[in-house]
Amino acid sequence: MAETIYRDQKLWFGGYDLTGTMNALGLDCGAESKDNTVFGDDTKSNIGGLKTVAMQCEGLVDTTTYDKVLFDNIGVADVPVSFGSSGDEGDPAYTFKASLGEYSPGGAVGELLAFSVGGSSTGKLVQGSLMVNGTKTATADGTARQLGAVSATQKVYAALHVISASDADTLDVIVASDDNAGMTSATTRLTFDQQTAIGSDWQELAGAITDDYWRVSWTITDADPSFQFVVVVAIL
Amino acid sequence: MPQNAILPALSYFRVSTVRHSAMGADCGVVSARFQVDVWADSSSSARAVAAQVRSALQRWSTTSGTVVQDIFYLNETNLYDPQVKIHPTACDFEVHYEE
Repeated sequence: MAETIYRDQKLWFGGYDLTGTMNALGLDCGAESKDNTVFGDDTKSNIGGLKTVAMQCEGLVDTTTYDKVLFDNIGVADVPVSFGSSGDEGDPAYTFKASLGEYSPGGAVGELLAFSVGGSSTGKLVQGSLMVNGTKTATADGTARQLGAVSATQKVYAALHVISASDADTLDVIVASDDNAGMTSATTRLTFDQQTAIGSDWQELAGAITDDYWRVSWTITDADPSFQFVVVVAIL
Repeated sequence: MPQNAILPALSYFRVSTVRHSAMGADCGVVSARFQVDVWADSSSSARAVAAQVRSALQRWSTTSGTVVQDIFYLNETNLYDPQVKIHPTACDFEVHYEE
């Protein structure tokens, strides 16, 4: 068993990395249990109902940047939210589209001003892989990873978080698949909206896709560009 | 305190320091508890000097040099040492500063 000290959890909310301002994080996912007990049963029986997804985060108020970001996003639908364990590319990551329902800054005199923020999903929670996490200054391909094929009843999902963007430059990110690790005959499956500033985007595509290798590629243009961004890809 | 110091006099020491952590990094704000001890040969003198200490430090802040966000006066304890006939007063402060 690989125990982990909870110290470096990553949370990307839209175009912002909240890692350095939060100190507690919870992700609640479950499914309603619906009673389907009938005559003849000797024990209560239940069937799984609709799934539920919610997040709760606590931290220290950063009045310079994140206070306004969180306040402005209350009630905004479909903001991509992603969790990563260490931030290393290839690590497992969870992602979903969320809407913040609660932002509560406060505290007593003499104490650090703290906040709690809570949100719930506006779509499915998916577990996938952290494909890219870094600052890029030139067009390149990421690492191909074997995430698996997409069946006819599944979708491939991808979340893009642009944490910083240089002025007057453009970032185009795609997700491609292939049947081999070398990506010799890659097919573009998802194309994110072009990014020119801090922001985020969410794309998804229904199966079936028999390719099992997946790769993120990015095209960066204009003079002296620099983009810090994160991409999570998942199949469910 | 040195031997035979002229009273009233002050000494201080840091009692504890708390650094507040966020995921992945500390936020840079430090909460340190300091104790300032007032040494006087009468209780009235000790109280008067302690009042000066409180007036000087309570809610003091600065953005020049090391940023001190605020100082809170936590506690004041009046004591008496019958062997040397000194009236110490312990004043506790919490200092929030940035590093």
